[in-house]
Amino acid sequence: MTMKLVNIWLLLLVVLLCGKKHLGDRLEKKSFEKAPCPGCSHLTLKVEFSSTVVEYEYIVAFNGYFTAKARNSFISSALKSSEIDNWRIIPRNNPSSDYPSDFEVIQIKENQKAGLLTLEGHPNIKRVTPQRRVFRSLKYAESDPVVPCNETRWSQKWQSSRPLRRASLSLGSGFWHATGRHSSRRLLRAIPRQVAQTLQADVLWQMGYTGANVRVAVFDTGLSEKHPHFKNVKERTNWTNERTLDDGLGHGTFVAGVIASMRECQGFAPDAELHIFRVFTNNQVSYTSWFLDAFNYAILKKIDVLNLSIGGPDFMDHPFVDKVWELTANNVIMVSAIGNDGPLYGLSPSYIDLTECPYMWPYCSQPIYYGGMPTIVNVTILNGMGVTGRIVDKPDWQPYLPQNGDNIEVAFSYSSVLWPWSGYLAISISVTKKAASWEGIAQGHVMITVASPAEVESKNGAEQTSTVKLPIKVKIIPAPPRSKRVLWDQYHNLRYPPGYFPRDNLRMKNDPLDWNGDHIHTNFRDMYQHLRSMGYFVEVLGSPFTCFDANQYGTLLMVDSEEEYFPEEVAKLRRDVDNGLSLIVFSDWYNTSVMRKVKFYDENTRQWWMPDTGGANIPALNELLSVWNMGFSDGLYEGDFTLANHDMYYASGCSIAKFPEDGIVITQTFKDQGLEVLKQETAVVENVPILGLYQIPAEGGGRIVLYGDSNCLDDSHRQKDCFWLLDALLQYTSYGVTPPSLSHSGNRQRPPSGAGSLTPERMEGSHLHRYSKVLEARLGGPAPRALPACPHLSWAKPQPLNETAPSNLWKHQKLLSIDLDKVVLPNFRSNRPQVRPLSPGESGAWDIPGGIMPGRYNQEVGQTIPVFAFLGAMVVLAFFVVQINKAKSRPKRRKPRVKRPQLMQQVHPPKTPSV
Amino acid sequence: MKDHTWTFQCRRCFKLRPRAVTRLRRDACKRASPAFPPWKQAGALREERAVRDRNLLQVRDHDQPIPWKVQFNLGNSSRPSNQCRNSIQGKHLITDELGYVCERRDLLVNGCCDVRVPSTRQYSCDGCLSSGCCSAYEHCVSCCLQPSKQLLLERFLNRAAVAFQNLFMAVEDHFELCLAKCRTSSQSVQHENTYRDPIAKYCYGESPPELLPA
Repeated sequence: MTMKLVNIWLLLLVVLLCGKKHLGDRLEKKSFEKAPCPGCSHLTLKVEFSSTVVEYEYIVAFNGYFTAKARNSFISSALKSSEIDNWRIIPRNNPSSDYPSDFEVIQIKENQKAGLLTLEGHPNIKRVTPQRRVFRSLKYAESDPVVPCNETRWSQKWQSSRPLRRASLSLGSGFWHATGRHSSRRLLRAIPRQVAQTLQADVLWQMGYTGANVRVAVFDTGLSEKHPHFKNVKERTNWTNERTLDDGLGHGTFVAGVIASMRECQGFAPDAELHIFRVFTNNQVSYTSWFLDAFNYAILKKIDVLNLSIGGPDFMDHPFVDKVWELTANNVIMVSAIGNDGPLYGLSPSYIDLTECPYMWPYCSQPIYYGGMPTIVNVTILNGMGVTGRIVDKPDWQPYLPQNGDNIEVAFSYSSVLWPWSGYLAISISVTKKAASWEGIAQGHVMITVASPAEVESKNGAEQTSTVKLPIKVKIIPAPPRSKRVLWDQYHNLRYPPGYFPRDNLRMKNDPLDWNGDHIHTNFRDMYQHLRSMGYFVEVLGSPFTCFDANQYGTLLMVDSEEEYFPEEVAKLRRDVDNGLSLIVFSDWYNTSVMRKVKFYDENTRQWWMPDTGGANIPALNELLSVWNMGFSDGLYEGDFTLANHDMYYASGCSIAKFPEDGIVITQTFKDQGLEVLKQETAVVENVPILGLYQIPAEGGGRIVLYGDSNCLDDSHRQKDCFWLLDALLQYTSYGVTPPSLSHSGNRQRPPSGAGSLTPERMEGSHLHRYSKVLEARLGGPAPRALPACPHLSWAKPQPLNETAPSNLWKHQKLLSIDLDKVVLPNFRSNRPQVRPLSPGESGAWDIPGGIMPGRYNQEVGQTIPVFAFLGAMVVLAFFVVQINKAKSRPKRRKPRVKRPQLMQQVHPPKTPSV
Repeated sequence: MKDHTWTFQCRRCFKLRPRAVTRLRRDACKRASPAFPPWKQAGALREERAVRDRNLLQVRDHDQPIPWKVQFNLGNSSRPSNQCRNSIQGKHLITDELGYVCERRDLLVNGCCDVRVPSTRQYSCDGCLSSGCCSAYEHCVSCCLQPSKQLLLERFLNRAAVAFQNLFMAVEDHFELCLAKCRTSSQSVQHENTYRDPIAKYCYGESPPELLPA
């Protein structure tokens, strides 16, 4: 089943920090910080060391940095003079091995004393010391993890054309533009560091941005009234059905602590005014309607920054999405989580480099070529000039001729009005015909000018404008041969329907809905990666079968399709297969009795939900396949089996009811899961036909493969993958090679004639037409609509530039509005707030040092910074996603998918649009 | 797999991120009483009381009507200057506190609609149904600001659900009340994720939008 996905990846985080500055305000708050917190227990980290000498091993330190070869020659010449032969250099295999070093570890097994003396006498050797083995142990003494500190960890797991360079939110030194100011070494893993310090919020504090006079709403699990870490909780409200304001879970406390904790682990904006909205129960449950009411209250209260550390899959929840827009339009800066997984993204680049992994996955996983489905990149335009704005004229496409920019074509669609503070720009990219056999990199850029009403209008109609340049870089290859090209049918996978489309695997009772959209970049990602690694090129068909050129593709792959088919599609596909296109269908179950049985009562909506299809839409598939005398049954089977020496699992699949006599059919023995679901009885069925291979007999005809279960390709709830089977089937469909393991399998049986097995009828009363692109409601029952026109892109007229593209597309993204190098920070070091990790052995007694209140520094720094109201808060956001669906149609897809950071460039005037 | 009753309580609910949370030991510390400087003492105490009141409100008996304090000050007299508050958020339209609806481009620097522009209308109920639900938020606010709607609003406030206590307790005048009342809310949805009426969803009236068949 399907649904459309949304890559709810990423997140982003947040900070806020803003404030209007009032000296008096800060003085008065100083008194808080002295308040002792008697009786608090604290987290203490104890780091203990012990070490032992390693026998025979010595560290030879040189008086400079030398290559491995030079080091070797120094040591050997020294030892040769003492006639010591039994020694060796202990290899150190680490990334620094290629670079000069100032030490070497050696092992000497004879006459060490003399050896060491001669070594130390060598002019290039500074000293020789025994190698020691160090044991370090960490102990937490009394754990009371109130507002736990974040540990900073970072490791690069991805291949990228630009490794390690991007400033990451959690990369301390990269965060500012590597000025060297914070380049001291830190033992990152051993000692938990405070997140505000890691991200250098202290620098902002010194400049006066401590959150004072900023209203921050925390939408979470609440906060207890007397929590000692917060001094500025303005209000707590409860929007749940539990009659409490307290946080029974800890999540809300943690989030509030990151924002504004005063003690222990400091928050980013300790002076912020907290408004606690309890919208989650202690069981982590919440509903759209609770949020709507709470959001309305936040608007009324003129909240400046609203933190929502939550996520949910329902991007089609219009009331919620509309409300978020409404908040934004009312100048509430909403900061939302985007996920707990993935590498450390957070900042997106202000360019489109389709060659860059992993940031541009999946774009970077497959180069583009002439004749392929256009690649679509969705960009969010963040316009800081005003809540409304517009794109002036049209976006311009300016290819760099020296960089072969004229080998690609570009088409745009975009928001007519940018609101609220943002809009989308969808860029479709295709290869020109003249580059059909060309290989290389093509570059250019898109220019857009955004206009918004002037902030201080002297007269009506005055506008301010801003222009943005968005570089584009793509890799082009010659079009691959037909046999290498696989077309994934997305059009007949229902995307994210609000109806009930049950899971393919009925054992997954806790997760009965199919959320992921059945796309090669979501829950079929592993399969996609596998096909790419096998050398196939996979494209996505987002339009009806009538809209693709079958001569381009070897195999059409249909997996778990729930949609119906236009009569024109049925006819077109038949012609295509006659002319050499092959078809692979991974089906799933469809049994109306089971569908009625798996209805469920939704306590949220207080109604019964009845499925609108089974796992797949077998009645529709059977109509599509009927011309070849094939069809699936309404059976429902489950079980482990072995096929061609591979362990397999059949998870709620159907069987093949009918197959041509001259085809190859494989059968297995399974449990009748239908009987089990309906009557709680167990029965074993032998010779269930599950796999069929068929060659169209006509000259030049294609091949068709049917398999009754899609779960082995689906990332969600998959138990055993069958990618090997897909490989074998593609060998058959694309190259005509019949896998002997299948054709000579002991499980090969006579193809079923169709007699004696039932093919399912469409379920009475199904509401599939509500979610279908094919069906519409008619008198007398749902019927196909008129066939929609195939998507058409109008390519932007290129304005070629005879200049060279910048060698670096990327510029360092600044996270903050202020260039630190230009800001005078008197007594920077001595004034650092004393937020520091506990040293080994330090006791937990924590007094609140005077330095913890950022405000006090303003007295010194105040002179250097203009004192004016600074209204904005900041942060970040970012990024994107991608979801390419290389098909042109799908207007919904044009929703902005790419959020990019919008950073204030200067303190004032701050706002320009960015892409 | 004996039991095939499907129970699924949280079909569209939201999930906290990060999900793995540790249980906190609450109230491990006693909070020292804040030391307000003398000149801030009064204000701070008032604030504290307000917070306490707010907290009490949460556990109040549901049957009591909301003790609302909306001042229905109509007309210009109550406004301190010639500045207007307005509805801020609109993509195309804006309503000011005098009840004028205008195109965004016809908004004056002082926040008021330009009444000289012919398309600017006062107390406009365009697109509003007799049920009190409108297709445009700005028209809902404008219509709601009609002096004749005061009785209707008072009746609503006296009967408002407990879910709205927070909101309508905090509303101070007719304009704020209309801004708040016209927004989509828990009353606007069915099945949590769809509007009861996707067209006329902004309601100044007492009843929620009419539930349309899907």
